[in-house]
Amino acid sequence: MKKCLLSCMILLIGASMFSATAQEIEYPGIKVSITEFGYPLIPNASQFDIQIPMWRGLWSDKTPELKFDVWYRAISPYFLPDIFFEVGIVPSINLLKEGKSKLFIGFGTAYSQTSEHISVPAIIPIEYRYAPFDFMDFNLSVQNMIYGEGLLSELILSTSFHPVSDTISIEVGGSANVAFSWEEQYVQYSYGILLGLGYRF
Amino acid sequence: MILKYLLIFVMVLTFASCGPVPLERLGLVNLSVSAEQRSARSFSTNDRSIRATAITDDQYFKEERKVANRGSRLYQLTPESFILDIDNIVVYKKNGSEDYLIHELMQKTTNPYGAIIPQHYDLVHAKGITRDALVQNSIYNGLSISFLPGGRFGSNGLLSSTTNDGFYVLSSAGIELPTEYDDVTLDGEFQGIEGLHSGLRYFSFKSLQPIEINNGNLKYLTIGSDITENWVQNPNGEFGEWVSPLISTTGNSVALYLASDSSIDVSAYKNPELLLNWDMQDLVEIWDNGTPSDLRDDIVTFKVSDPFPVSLVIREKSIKKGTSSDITAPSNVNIAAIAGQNTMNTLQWINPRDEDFKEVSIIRKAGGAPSDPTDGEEVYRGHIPNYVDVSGISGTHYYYLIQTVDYSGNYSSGVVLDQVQP
Repeated sequence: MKKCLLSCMILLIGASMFSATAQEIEYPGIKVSITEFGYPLIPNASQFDIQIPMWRGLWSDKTPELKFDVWYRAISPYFLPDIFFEVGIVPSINLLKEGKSKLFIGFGTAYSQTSEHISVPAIIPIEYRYAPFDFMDFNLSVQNMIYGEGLLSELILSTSFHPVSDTISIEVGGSANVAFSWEEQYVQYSYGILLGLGYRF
Repeated sequence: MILKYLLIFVMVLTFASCGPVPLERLGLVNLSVSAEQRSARSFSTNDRSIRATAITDDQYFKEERKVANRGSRLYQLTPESFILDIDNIVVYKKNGSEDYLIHELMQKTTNPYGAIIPQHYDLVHAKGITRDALVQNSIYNGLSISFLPGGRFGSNGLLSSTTNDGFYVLSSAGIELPTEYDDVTLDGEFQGIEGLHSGLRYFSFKSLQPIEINNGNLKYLTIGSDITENWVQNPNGEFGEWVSPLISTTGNSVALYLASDSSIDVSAYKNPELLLNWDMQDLVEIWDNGTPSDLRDDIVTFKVSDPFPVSLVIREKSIKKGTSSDITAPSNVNIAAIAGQNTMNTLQWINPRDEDFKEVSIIRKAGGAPSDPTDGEEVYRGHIPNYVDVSGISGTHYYYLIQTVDYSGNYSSGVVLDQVQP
């Protein structure tokens, strides 16, 4: 596991070192992706994600860049909702207007259900993207989820490749979670790897 | 204007957020551990059994239990009770040569001085040794248990009252001996604990286990698929360092490793439960020690051909729910005892074998026994079979009413313990 995380770090740091010129990362179109999470290594969670961009300049030059993320996540490698599932939506706005980087911050919510409980969190995600090459970009995101009885933060560090064309992407990376409950006074954590496959229409 | 409405939206959503943190989202799953006696035929096709390999090597056995010295086998007996004083249970996953991902499963009780109060469990049937411990939803290489082997005897043959930390250690097997032993006290036998079943004879785990450990103290049991040094680690009980999946430490304890060819895969279950099956069938043997006419020196031991017949079954936990039609009170706790040290009273017991046992309630009253659950102050409610009361006043005579509660809300008649708090 340590080796996997180290490899991801080297890959991401290496990518930023070789970026020669600033490029505008333009991703038109709706992107759908599926991601398998392994906590810590064996695939045991899956996510289906739809990303809907709303482009700067669509109506005028001053229109801010927005995107919507809608997802379904299940604690099952096969998307089965038996143990846990979550559906969520988060609109985000890009705070970096120029260059090859984007910094999205958003606010949204989700509905999650386990065999015993239903929870509805407020979600504040912060996502940094950096695209040194046309065929690769990396992503650092922190998804902060505020529940009625506690907090959950998910850190994702990943790299996306576009080996064939811009429409298809492969994402590899790592994920770490920390949960704190002020109601039951505990701190829990987990970590794992992720592998995703995306298609942009 | 947009910012103002956005801020209102954010505040409303934040305040409207509800519910507990779903730890399942972290890839965690609730894992329980129980113990039960089951025949091989009673396992369903969905249960997955992990059988520890049998131990047959004679070289590590206590001197009188080696083939050349133990004489003839007289009896094979099945214990009616098998108590283990458990300190901790973990599942582990091997990441590297000495790198383990470890999840502790037990909810431990400690006294104010940091000593872990062991939990008595009768492995013939113990529901919910651990309940809903959160572990990563994954495949594990094994399970490790640390326990206290017991065997503290006074010169009179009675079990020494308590340890220096102020609690009882009862790891033992309760056996119905043949009548010819009615007037004979055998080596390793103990008496003197209130609540012991009068029809049974109790032998400490330390004396029953056949491994020669010199100054060591057999107190770790590990069942794992990655155990390369299976059998006994540190058999001479030397002080020094060794590595166990459970703990890396120094000391003179001895760890017993049982190899398995299967891993523990909890990922296929919604509410996985590990069922510890310590096979009691003919577990205890009596050997004549080479003197057929003398009963007093007979050896009572775990069966020397397979002294630790332990297996694990992974299965879907059955969720217990009460019914309004159930008005049967659960059984009382067993072998309830009170001890103490300095400014605390330590209570220990064994939970009943009732299938619908949920928890224990303890009512405390000073100066006299509580007559019912409303007569006094409830100081404990839970399924862990011990309680350390540090809230009392030294010199006060406290009475504790210990009642069991089932999932239908029925209370047992209760057991009363009392002690002047040290």
